Amino acid sequence: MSRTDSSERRRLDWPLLGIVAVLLGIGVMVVYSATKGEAGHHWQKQILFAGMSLVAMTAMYLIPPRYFYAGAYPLYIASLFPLLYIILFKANSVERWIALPGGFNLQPSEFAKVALLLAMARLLSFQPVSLSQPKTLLAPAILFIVPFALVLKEPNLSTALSFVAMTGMMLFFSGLSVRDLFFLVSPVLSVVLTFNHTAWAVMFLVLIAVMWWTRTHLRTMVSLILVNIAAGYAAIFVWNKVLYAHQRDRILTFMDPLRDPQGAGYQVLQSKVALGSGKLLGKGYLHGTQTNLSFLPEEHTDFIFSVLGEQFGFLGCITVLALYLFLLHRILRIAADTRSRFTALMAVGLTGILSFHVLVNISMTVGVMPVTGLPLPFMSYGGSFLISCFIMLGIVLNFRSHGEYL
Amino acid sequence: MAAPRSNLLDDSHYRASAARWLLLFVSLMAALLALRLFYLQIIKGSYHEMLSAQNSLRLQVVKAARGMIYDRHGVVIARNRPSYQIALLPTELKNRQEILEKLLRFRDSTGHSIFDSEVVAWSLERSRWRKFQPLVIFEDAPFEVASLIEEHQTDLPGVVTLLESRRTYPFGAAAGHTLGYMDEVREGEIEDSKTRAAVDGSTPYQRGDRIGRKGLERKYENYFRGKDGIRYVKVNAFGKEMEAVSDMPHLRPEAGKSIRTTLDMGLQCYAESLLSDSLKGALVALDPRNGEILVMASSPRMDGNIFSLNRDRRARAWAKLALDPSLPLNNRSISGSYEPGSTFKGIVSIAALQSGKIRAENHMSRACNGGYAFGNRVWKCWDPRGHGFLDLVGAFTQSCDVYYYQAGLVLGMDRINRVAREFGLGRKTGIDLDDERSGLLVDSASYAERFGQRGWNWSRGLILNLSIGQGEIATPLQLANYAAGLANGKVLYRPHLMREMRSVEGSVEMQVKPEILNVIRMTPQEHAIILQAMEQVVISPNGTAGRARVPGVRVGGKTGSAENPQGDKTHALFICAAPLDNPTIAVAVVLENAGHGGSFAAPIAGALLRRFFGHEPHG
Repeated sequence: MSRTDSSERRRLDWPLLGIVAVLLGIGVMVVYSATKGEAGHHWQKQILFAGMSLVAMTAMYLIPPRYFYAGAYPLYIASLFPLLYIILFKANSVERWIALPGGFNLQPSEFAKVALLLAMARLLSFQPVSLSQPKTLLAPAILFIVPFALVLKEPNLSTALSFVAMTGMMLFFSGLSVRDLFFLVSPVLSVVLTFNHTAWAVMFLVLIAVMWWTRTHLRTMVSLILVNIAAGYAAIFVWNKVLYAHQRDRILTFMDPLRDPQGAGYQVLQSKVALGSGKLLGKGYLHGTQTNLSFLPEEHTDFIFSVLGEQFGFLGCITVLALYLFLLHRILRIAADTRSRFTALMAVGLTGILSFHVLVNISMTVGVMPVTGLPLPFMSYGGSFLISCFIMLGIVLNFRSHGEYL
Repeated sequence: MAAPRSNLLDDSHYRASAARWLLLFVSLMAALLALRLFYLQIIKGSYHEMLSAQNSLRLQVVKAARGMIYDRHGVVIARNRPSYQIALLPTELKNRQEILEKLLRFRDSTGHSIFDSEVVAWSLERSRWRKFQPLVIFEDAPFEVASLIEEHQTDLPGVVTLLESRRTYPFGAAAGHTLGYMDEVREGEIEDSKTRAAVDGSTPYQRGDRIGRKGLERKYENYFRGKDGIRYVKVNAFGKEMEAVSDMPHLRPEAGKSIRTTLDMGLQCYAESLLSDSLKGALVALDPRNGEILVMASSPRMDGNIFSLNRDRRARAWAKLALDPSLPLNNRSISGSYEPGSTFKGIVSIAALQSGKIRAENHMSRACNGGYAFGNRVWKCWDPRGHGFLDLVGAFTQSCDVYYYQAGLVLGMDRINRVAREFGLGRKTGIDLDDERSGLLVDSASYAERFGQRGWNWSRGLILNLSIGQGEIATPLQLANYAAGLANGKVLYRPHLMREMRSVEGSVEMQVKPEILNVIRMTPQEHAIILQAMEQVVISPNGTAGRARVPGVRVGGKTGSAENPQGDKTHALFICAAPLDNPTIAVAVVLENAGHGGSFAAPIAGALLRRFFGHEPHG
């Protein structure tokens, strides 16, 4: 990629903002069609959320970049307290937010997402990582695991997994190979796959093959295999001996919401029928039958893509997918072009979060992934996630323009 | 700050290539999604369009089979039977008047209309606003009616037969109280189950589900229930289910767990034949070696099958049960509160032996002349002729009240109640049933607490009544376990009904181990004296329970005839255990207002023991 000159870099990235505006516009349109005739003023509120997001993004753009750099660690520490508060005081509640004065809700997991992005970018910007020097992985691991574990305990599995996507991409970018990432993730895979012996055996075969192929150090090989075996058997032990039946049940429902007979399975069915019945060109804007008859629950939040697909068909879906890819391309270009490691890492982390949300949300609406309640960036109805996306975008754009030598 | 390899990120070529790889990765995933969308929207587009146009998919809950209940030998005592419901599907109904006329035209062999015109008319009316659930117009319909409706399916759009599974108890009323029964779940319970489901992930109840009430059905409801499955079905224009939709997620139902109980149904049925329904009372038999309940009978009996009948018959049977003054719904074995009467003398005897103040071979200071003067009145012995001077075994055998009046005064209630607690009296045994009563032991403190407000004061005269078992309260279960403790002499087990839990495939998932409730502190010498006294009650010519004898088996017991406020006649009680050398069964019989324990309760226990030891013909 060619190096753009600094005067272009100082300007705003108008193509990027243009795509975001288009996605936002399509989102409001579809929210309008999905909630037409329902109480709640959804589309008006969505415009209000968009306005607030723009204000937040502008504010992030105008703060001098060094404050973000200096504030990364304090902000990270501060972000852990609201998470702890949720776990300690709202353990038996489905609420995962803290009510603030003025009718606003703080979502601690969204706050933690931004804080982890900043802190991880700062850490990785001066500390290279390598699997052959395990010590270099210790600090990133600790930085990651604390908010990850807290969000998981909330429980908010999908947001916790978006941390994995974000951190994974950042680690890859700062030098870990795909193989190294696979090695790092393998104990987690063992924990899950140990319950299916064939799958576990296949994973071990792949692991050993990769090790053999890449001439992995013998010591690394042995310790990795031992860690994997230990993780697998520890998981079985905890599952059978430590957890109570209802706790096991809860985890299963968590991983596979289709176990809930009434809720998720019904949504997936209706989502597939809505999407599929759109065929090539869709039924036309405001002419969706499935959604207008309210057969599709959560249509304006998690299942907004199905509404889009019913009314605009395969072409509409592909267009939106292409828009997302173009957006990610623009963000990754910032990472490629900047001279600042911190900026580059921020951009990559943001790519991780956005691509995770887009891919998982659409996978859920087409019925290939469990329903986990993950919104589609810039399109789903709702304020919290939208604002946090814009805040991260504002920071990245800010660094693109002003953070060159940080 | 800079570490050796920190320059990687400063290399613009590296950054560009890493960014490209990331974009390539995300694009690949997006391409897979695009393929999936192509499949759903282009290849299967027409199919989905058709489904969307008819909206002909239904989510169907597949009920899990309820776990069964077996007796200790594997005989089925609770199972499931199919039950047909004729119902209206409101969304499929076209011409309501026509449906009504057609339905009322169906007549049975006696010429009566099969359907109740009022019920059908009212359901048709309700179907206008209760759109989303089937309305049952004929509950638990006979098979002939169900097949009649199936035959006329095309004439009757919106009328369907639904298959349900209902509980049935092949032995009828036998062990009815212990088993409990099933009933339709209530609105409040559905709400509660939803709240609970949010916390522990259990399946909430739905309207129309049946839930276990009382007895084992309630106690082990969560195990019996299993987990309902789901599937999606395509329905035709009549609302009739055509096929399961295969590419949709489905969830197989998980059958509930079955339970093998400790009950011996042969013995249970025999015991119930001994307690006629005109008698009020209870009989409990258990194994002193582990606390397994062999028989638990309560009279009058209750048949759990009536709750599975259709609404009319159920309502009639229920009204009869609920309004009966003899309270047939009560499980008297665990919730009957009876004064133990003379059966309590075993406790006092042990307290006496352990006190060191009374020696077994000595007699009390005053002889029994039919009464005992204390304070300003005379407390009578049950036998007005008097017993003279008796040692402990003699007094126990003949149940001499005067001996025990004096023993009580010497010992004091604290010492007596300590022994009583050791034998499980005054507190719930913790059997695996709800509604168990704890009974009552009385001393000056608990007396003041209970009766102080009425202005009654504790006096030493009360000890006289209490030491012959008048004033304490015990359940038949507690008395049976007390008898088991007397015979066993070492430990008291927690009585229990579940032996093991099995999965639907038959593998044992949980086995109940005997649980020790109390360790009994009794020396072998003391135990030998008690056993001798219990045996004398049965075999001595002076004994009160000669009718509990079993040829060739050493039986020991104690009768009781408890005065009570309910009637003129005493409650008849008998507790016993056998064989005394190595006890395998302990029995308690309580009959309300029947008369003397020796004349009414002991013969029943004796018959049961003779059957248990193989002396009474089967059947």
